[in-house]
Amino acid sequence: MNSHHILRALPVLTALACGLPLAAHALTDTEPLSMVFEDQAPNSFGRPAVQAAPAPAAARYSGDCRLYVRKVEDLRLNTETVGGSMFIFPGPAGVPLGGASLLSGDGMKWTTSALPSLRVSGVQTQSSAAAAGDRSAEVALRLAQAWTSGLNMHSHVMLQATVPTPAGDVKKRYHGFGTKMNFANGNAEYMATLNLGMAEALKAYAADLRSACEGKPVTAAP
Amino acid sequence: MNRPLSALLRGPCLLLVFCGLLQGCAPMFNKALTAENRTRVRDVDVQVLVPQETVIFSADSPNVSAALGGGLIGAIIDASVQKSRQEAMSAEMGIFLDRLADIDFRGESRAALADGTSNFALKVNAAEVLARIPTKTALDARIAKTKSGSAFMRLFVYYTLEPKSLTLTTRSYAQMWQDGAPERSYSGSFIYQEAAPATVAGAAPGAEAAAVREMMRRAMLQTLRMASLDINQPQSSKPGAPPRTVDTKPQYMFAMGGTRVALAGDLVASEGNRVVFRDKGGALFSVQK
Repeated sequence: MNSHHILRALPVLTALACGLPLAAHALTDTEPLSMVFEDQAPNSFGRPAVQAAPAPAAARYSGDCRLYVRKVEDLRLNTETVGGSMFIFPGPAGVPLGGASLLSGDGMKWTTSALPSLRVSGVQTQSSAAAAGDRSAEVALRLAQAWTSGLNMHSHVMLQATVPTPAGDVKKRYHGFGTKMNFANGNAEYMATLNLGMAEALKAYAADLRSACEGKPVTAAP
Repeated sequence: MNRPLSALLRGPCLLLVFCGLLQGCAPMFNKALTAENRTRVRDVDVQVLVPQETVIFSADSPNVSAALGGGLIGAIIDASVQKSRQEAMSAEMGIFLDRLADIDFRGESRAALADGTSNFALKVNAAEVLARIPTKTALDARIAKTKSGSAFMRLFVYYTLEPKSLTLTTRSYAQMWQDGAPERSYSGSFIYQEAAPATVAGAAPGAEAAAVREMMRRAMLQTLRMASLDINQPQSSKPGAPPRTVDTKPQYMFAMGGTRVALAGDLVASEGNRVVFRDKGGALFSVQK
């Protein structure tokens, strides 16, 4: 019996050992992820978190902070995939014995659809520069990847965006990370984990936008 | 939408059993290239797979599951604690990864590939670096093409970078198919590790990034060198051959999980400040002396 036999037999062995059916929604490496941004982050049991209706931004944030996003780009070095799962056995000699890629959908569409969530942090996106009081910015997706570790899945999203200030645009990168328990290793779970990362990156971006709106300095990237 | 308990537990259960099964299997994933198969290889197409976009980091698991003797409850506790640790680690890693944002491991690998394949143990016909792991169907089709063409070697690479010491570790698994046979004629495991000079870690971002790029190129070169050594100096794989003796004295230092451990193995090569040794499972390690 060699490693091929073991790998082939693993799904059967695992199903027998667990007494449960095989995952019906497991990762498929032939279909791209939906790249749909959903604002409600699922909790660790895979269900949408029960959240109270968000208070209007104006009630939580003082002042008016509107933004027109004049350009959204997908500047990832690799737009074909967004990470994947790899099988590495534990120990010093562990190597990736196999895995599957997560195929990326439209990164620009994903980023565009996520931008309205800035309102949660008190920034209202507008459809024209005039409506935003000529406060405009550019946002680019620089990196998106998800991976598995033990029973969890993780994500890392990096946005590169400009913050309008009286002294000119400040360009910075914003990182967001997501972690959730991996229940079925499915495409939708990976997408939800990526959305957690995107939401966190946007939260960091919104903090700078609000600082600029309030006339506070925005620190440039080192 | 509420999901039944069986659906909730399915994923963790599958992964738990999968990981448990793999732990004792390391040696059988390596297979020496026989002299007969080697003579039949005219040349080889090399495909390097790097499926990650940047450094992947994972917080340690508390191993409650192991302490409890296995089981799903322990595994779920492990996952929950690991999740908290990962989230705590993310803030620090964000700053670190921002300094390395423009580094492209695949680009550095491509740059090193020409050099690495020119001195390879087998004649290399073509070499490429890919982000996407081919599907099973694509892999099967590629293997079938070896019946009337070049042999096919796939090198699956995973890398990590420890932020404090700037220690790069690459873990690679090579598999080769030839003559249209679905069974691999060769497979080998290669682990490369290098720490940047102490003066570089935490230095100006440009200096750090330059050092990391250099290490990535060396990692690819050394990985191909280890594959050459493994093909040229195979461990015995003949049925009935006596077990290989390994120097059991741990003497090679290896950074892992935030600490340094001493590993045992047989010296395969020594060059400059670097040694290559083979552990008892047959994996080759290239570490600094």
